[in-house]
Amino acid sequence: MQRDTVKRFYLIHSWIGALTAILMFVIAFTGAVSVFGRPEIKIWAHEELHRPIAIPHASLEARLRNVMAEVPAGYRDDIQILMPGVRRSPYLSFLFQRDDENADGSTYRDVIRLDNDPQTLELVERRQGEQRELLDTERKDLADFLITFHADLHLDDPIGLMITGLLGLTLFASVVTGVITHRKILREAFTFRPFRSLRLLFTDTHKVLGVWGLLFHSVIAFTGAFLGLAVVILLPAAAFVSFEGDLDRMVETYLPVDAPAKSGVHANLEIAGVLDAAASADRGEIVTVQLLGGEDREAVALVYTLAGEGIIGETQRYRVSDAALLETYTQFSRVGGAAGVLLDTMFPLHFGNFGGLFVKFLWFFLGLGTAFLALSGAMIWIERRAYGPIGQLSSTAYHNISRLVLGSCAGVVLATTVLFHLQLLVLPRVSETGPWLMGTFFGVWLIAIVWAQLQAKVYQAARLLLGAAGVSACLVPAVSAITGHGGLVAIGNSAFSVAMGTELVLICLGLALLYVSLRLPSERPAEKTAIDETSQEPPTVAAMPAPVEGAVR
Amino acid sequence: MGGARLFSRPLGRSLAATLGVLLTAVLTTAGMAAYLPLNQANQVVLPIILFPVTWLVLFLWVLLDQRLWRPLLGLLVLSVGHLLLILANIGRL
Repeated sequence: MQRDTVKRFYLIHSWIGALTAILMFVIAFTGAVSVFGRPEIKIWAHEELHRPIAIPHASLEARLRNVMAEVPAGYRDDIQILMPGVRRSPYLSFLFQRDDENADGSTYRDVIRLDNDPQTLELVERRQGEQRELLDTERKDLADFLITFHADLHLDDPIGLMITGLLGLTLFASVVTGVITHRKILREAFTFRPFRSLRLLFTDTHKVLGVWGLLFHSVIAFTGAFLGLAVVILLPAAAFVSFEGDLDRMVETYLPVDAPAKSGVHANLEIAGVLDAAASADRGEIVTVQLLGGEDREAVALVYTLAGEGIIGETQRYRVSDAALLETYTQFSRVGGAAGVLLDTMFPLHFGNFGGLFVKFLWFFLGLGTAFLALSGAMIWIERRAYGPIGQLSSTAYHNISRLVLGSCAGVVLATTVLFHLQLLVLPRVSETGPWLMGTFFGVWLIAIVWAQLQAKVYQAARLLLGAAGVSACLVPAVSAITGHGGLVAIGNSAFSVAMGTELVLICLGLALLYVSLRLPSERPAEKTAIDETSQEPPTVAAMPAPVEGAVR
Repeated sequence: MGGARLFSRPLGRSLAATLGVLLTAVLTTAGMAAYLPLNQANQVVLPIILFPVTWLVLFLWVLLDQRLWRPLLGLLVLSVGHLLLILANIGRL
């Protein structure tokens, strides 16, 4: 490849990285934490989920029949059961749904939602309203907050998803241009010199994280771009072409939820048999059960499961009256062909929710790698300009950019750890959790950014912010014990639980943050020699002249 | 070796690489449903899945081609061609 072409690739790589670094760090870091959002952090956040949940199927069926008697008949043909602590819901929730029409002919779904305690099965809350409205107004916990922030930055549709989708595209471009730029990729995978100089620390970290996480970064970028942009741009565009703009009709065509043909013969809703059959099939943990057809003899139950031994979760379709398994399929297998397979793999590959805790930890650490890849890239960009020959702004300007990058990145880590304290101290005591989560997270983050800007020594600011995040994470189990929340404090009298594991991981992460904080210098150390500086850069770009950068800018 | 030799017309190139490429990639993705030799579901869904690849190829072409007019012409032909296919497909042509 021509030398100039490689230089162009390098410039594209460095400028994409510089322009998106902060946002990339924020999305990647919250994404890494979100890998454990559902169910681990959700279970930790809700005390009622700390003890193992084993609802006898007969009890669940009896509870459903009891509450059904109080629900108007029109709502009984489409019932969803959300199993507690598996994905979204901390409760055993029954959703009775009915499609209605507005005066203008448009349709909406009215829902009666009954949340039941997962241990006692007593009613906790009853809500009724339009589906979207119920979703928007449900009590959020820190797991919901972090997952939503990772997906759309808490910005309204379609802006948030577009931004994260476009960020996926830029990460994809960064990966490809990075591979082409760093052609001695195998040698770089084994070159790590953290204690020689700060600039070597950044460049070696960037290369090692980039090379070892190459496949992961590519997969996350590709699937992230798809997940962000598909819903807000690509599917509506496809629906415009093939379905006269009717997105709902397109979804119904490719992903039909087949309601059964009713026989008119009454049958009791004996769902315990279906749950027994689904459990004995051993396909994966049950997330949701959808009952279609009410108390008709031909009523069916769609049992949605997490991935069992494979990568993809399944849907099992049973006839309720005799618990006969009618069909097993995946979410997109009925699309057919390569598209169905690709769609089915897109979601688990992004979320890492297959293969148990091993894959979750792998995705978590690789996700942190993506975050630090963005941060180290930005710091290389700044270092080369603040202390090298190619900077076109003043040294003060680059130091301010450095403060912004480090303050934003360390600040989001601190804000995330503070949310755990908020979950323990405030959220169980307030009726509306959303404003508290938003105010605390963005408040702490903003204060960290402003505070970092006011510090004379930028590395000292980063050290203190990371140290504060480390202390905050280490203190979570103590606050948990003081508030009687459970978790590690229960280690003496209970089996190892998810809540304990979550707090143990928080302590480990807190200690890691404290270690990094202690190892970082409080000031940028001076470079030893000029030879050191040039030997750190990729050979293809070492001789890059300053005017080239200006042309892109 | 000046910047102009590596990246001519930086402003126009940047605009083409961001807005131009995004618009073209979306139109191409939507318009492919009109001619891909696949069943209807795959006609619609496969281009959507491959959207990141379509975008990346166009993005790098716009940034790397020394003669900017070539990728600009390419974007124009792709956009107009697929727009016409879309209009024909929805019966407005």
